[in-house]
Amino acid sequence: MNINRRDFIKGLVGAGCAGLLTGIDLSKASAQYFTRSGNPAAPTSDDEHVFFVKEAMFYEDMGQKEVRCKLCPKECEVGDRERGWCGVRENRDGVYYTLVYGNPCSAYPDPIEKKPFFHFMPGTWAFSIATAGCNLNCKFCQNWEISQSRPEETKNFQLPPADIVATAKDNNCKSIAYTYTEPTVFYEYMLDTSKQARKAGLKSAVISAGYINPEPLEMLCENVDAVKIDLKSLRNKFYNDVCEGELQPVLDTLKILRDSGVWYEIVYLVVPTLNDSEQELKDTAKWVYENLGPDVPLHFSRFYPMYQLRNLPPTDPKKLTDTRKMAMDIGLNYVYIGNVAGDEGESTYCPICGELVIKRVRYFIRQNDLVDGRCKYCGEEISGIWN
Amino acid sequence: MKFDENRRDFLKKSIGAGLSLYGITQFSLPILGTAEAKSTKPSVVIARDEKVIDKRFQIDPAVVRKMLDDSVIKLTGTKKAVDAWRELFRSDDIVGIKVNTLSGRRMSSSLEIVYAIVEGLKSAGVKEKNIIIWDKSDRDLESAGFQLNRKANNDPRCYGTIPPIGYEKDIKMLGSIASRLSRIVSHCTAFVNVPVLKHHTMAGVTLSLKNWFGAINNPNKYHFDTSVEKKMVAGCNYIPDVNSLLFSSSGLDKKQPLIVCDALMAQYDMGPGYNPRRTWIYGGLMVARDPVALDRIGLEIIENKRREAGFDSLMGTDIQPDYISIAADNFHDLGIDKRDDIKLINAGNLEPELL
Ligand code: SF4
Repeated sequence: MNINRRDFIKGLVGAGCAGLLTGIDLSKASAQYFTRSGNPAAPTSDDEHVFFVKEAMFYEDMGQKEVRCKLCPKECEVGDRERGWCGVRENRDGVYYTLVYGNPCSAYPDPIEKKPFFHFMPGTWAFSIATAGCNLNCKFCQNWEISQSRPEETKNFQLPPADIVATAKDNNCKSIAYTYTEPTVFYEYMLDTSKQARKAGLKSAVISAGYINPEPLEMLCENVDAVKIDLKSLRNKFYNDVCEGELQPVLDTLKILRDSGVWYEIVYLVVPTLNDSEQELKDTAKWVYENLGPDVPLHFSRFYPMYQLRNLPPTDPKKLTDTRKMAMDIGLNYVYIGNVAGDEGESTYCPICGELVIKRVRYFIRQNDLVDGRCKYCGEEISGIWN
Repeated sequence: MKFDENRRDFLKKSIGAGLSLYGITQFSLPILGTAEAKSTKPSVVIARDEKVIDKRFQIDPAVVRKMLDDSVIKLTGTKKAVDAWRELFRSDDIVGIKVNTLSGRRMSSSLEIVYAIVEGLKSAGVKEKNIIIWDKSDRDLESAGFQLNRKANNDPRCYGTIPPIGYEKDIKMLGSIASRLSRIVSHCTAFVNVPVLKHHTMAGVTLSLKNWFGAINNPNKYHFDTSVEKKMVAGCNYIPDVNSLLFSSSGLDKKQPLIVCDALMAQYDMGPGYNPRRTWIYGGLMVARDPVALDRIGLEIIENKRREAGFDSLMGTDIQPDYISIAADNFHDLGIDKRDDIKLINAGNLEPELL
């Protein structure tokens, strides 16, 4: 079944707006309507669901109909009729195409805190889109059913950039979030959407593992407003064994973001036995402090058994509390705990006077004591984009 | 290219440890069941005939049928074709004919060969409605000239995994491989694997082992190795892992009695896409039960043609198909790759033209 914008918006209005207007978390309700997350029982198609095919950016001709993709550090060398590692870019007669432009498999409004962004337009909604595919394969992926699928396995919407922007505005979203899977693999779609969003007065927020080459990243930074990076570990071995990637390009990405002026936050998922040694967590906090400065929000998130890591226990909340304290002792001003609802580590405290300035419970703001981005108690400026 | 030792060690450790570090559900590895018992040499039968395909690529179905019947007789050591087919298949089998249709009409499994296989299966008593001709997608099948048939009528069925059959919901894992299998795989009780003899710019050659990439949802993950400057370069040393995953998690070892490699027209460079300047008429079929042995011999035929055409050997290049010998190692144990241990049988009227 093809789902065009009209059907999509009809569904969205029916399922989602009530939630938006009343402030109810509609992620679950709308997911039933809008997430087509690679359920293999659902009809799938490789033609019906790949509506648009667009020439890719950032690749080079290697001759003999082979191409080298330059979008991410994997730099796949791809023969004719084959796809890159991410499964969403295909070589057809020596021309490289993206198969996910305008073909999101998920599209619905989310609180911006869910991304999580804690210092970027708090309390607003982000129209959140994803396509199939990823350039990593993290063994703990929460969205593996779509991230590790090819676009013909997911049920997709026909939503070119202009329709995404219009739908986001119709639904009172203040930003568009590129999320759930890895937006690097739908780069062209994200870039065009962010350009159109900016013209329409919407912001763009990228939720990424940061596994992207510098040139496309720099171009992206000119067009988006916020980036959240999942730093998976500070050990290359973890990247190799658990994510099928490399650490260094992610560190390079963080330094480029530091210099770009784009707002960015970091999430570190604490996975028991794999990246949770005291030394590694300390090294991570120190690296952030020394290379990026004290004001970058760093979220330590709780792991739950998932995908290929189903035999590990969830992270002990005490571990997260201890880690947060350790990182703050190193000098980081904004250290958070994720996936532990109601924990004090979900809220923001003024680094000078220590007062609670934003109280959060899960994805929702319960109290906001910032005045023009400053602590209402002592006047200290709190880093972030608040309006 | 050398196999990535670290990854291989990792894979071994993951399996060996029972409860692996990464929580991978352990499958037991296959016991060799695809070919003849280990003590006997696996046979690869080659049948070539100059009349089977002409210069305009017209294929004679009657000649194909005879070549195939002669080959299965030699393979099984029986006297009559019907006995050979009966030895290979039971009448109540649901047989999946896994064709290779990525490359359009010219370089995909030939309709005439598939037709001859269907006739052979019927002679063993397999009902037509229990024969499924399949590949990854409807689109590929149609572009290779197959007519789709989903009805349970008296014709063989023909359809791709997508749409609408799809993949198993559960992910199957073995070492570092994690994939979902086509639901067609679990539906069938036996298979005929019908690869095409051709070069592959990422794997070196694509033959019977590589053809199973069409049975998983994420072949793109396994086309690359990272061993050169950490870049994703061609080299398909995951192929044996994918085969092991299929074998161990689906009982495929018992389900794969026959491989019929289409070598009527073959391609020695710039595959798997069709390239008319790199194809030649070989006019043959390769028939075996051991995928490793068949791939070893197929590689030799392609190497021989490359030498004849003035091309470099694949050996020593980044795409040297090491995966064939890896498939034969003690860990994967998918078949025999040592040339001296393979029994080559000529069932045609031309020499096989090996290296
Ligand atoms: S974006 Fe995809 S195709 Fe391009 S280099 Fe990365 S994994 Fe390979």
